[in-house]
Amino acid sequence: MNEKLPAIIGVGCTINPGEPHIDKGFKDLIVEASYAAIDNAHISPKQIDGAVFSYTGEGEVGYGGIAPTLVDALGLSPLPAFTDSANCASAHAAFMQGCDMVESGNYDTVLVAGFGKMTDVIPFENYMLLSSDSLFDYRLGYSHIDSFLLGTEYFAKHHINKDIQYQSLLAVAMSARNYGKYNPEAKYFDKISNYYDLKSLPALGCTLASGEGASAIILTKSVKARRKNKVVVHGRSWLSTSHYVGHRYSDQQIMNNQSKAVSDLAEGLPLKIACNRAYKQANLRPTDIDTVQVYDQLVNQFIALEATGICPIGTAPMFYINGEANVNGKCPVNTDGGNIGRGFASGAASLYGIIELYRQLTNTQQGLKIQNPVHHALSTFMGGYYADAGAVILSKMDGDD
Amino acid sequence: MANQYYDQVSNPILKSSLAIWRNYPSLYRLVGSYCVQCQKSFYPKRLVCPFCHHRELLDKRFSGKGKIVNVEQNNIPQITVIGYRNLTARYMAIIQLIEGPFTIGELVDVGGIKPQAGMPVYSELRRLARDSNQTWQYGIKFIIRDVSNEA
Repeated sequence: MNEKLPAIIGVGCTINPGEPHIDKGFKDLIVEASYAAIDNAHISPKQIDGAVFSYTGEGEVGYGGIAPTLVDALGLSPLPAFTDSANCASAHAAFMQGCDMVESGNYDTVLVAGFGKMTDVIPFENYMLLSSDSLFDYRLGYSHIDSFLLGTEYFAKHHINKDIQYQSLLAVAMSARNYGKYNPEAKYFDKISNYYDLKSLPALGCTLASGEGASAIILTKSVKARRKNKVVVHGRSWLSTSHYVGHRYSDQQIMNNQSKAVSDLAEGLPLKIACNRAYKQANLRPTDIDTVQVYDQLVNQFIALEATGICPIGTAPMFYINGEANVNGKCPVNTDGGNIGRGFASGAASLYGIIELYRQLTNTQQGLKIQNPVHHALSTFMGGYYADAGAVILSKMDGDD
Repeated sequence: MANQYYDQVSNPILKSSLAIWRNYPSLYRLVGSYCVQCQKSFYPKRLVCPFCHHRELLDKRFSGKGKIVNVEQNNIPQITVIGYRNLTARYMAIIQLIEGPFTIGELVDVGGIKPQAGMPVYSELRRLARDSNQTWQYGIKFIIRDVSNEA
């Protein structure tokens, strides 16, 4: 395996990203998560020679550059630090940049950290609901929620009958809450859910739990990572297309003629391309993936799961119904509870997924343990309903069991 | 004050009216653009053709005629935040204009009809929500109506 590959050596996060934490500001959150990661990596803060931060824009209204504020709050000044923002996938964008920094050879140890802090800034709801072409469709009353609702055309496109729709959404909602029930960092930790309650919820409980939190990861070169439990970033890919949802229906306009089939909101074409590139980079196939993280909300977990190639087009609902996404299933999905069961703190959200995969790979999971051996794990995320899409493959180094 | 602006909502879009003014042709009259070189049409208007990367694009006003490609009913209260408190639930649709480009738009005057993919629609200028400075915003919406035989 290439020794220049970035490796994860430490992870940390704040608990319960599915609720507001009104007693903590964004500095409190980012410091708590970052120092948890530094402690987990068993390094000195002085060893960090670069940082990337992600958020959704909510530091302060119109805040153009939050990196120095965070570097100072972390006591790491002076430090080369950068900021990434890509709607829900902001943290994945930061992770990509962190990997690039390590791979460039210019940095030895990089902190990647993101935060979501929605209750301090009044227009935050706008930040979330925008996630579209702000100059055009948002002005016409189109919000991010409309994208997810239009995405339910997935069921019609694949001729999935009402009964399967119903059962599969319930299976997703229950699976997320069950995973969350055993994860002390999750919104649903120690909470018992039942089908009776889920049936009375919007979308049968398949809506993300929006809240606040921060997550952090320490990256270094593979060759410098400690030998035992070494987890490398084996493959990764990032794609930005368009926020304007109309273009999703004429994919030749945004996908550079890569697909002859017309895309739509029922297909995660940008994520599919990102995953395929990551597989190629890692020389792996979808069947090699032992666990996966996808963006779960309404029907999107089906769309995303199919974009990863882990299950064929139109079969993801049955994948859930048959228990293949469970901890003892063929490919466990969102074992920390995901956006629904763990919680969703926008600017930090996708790093939570990468942290869970790292823990499963190193057998340090906080919640349920995947029963089959885990060697390769895939983290995917999208921002602005596939305006941005990212795929990250983590692998445990051979012979480290 | 409260009675005068009964539909005042927290809609803190911190955007200058100049930004909206600049897009009036697009928001009010369905003005997009077409590429002089490859003749492809675009809506909203583009500055560069994504097919041939030609930069000479001229304005093109679309007819407003089209068909529903995808439609959903949004009754989630969160949309009240962006100014639609009195307008839930709304039908939001993906529309393919007869000239080819796809756009989004709210379906209005739906009556007892259940909007479905394939239905013909026609665009009209309608009132949207109040902006954060209390002025009304306007823009295109779509009504279900077959005007293919109308001039």
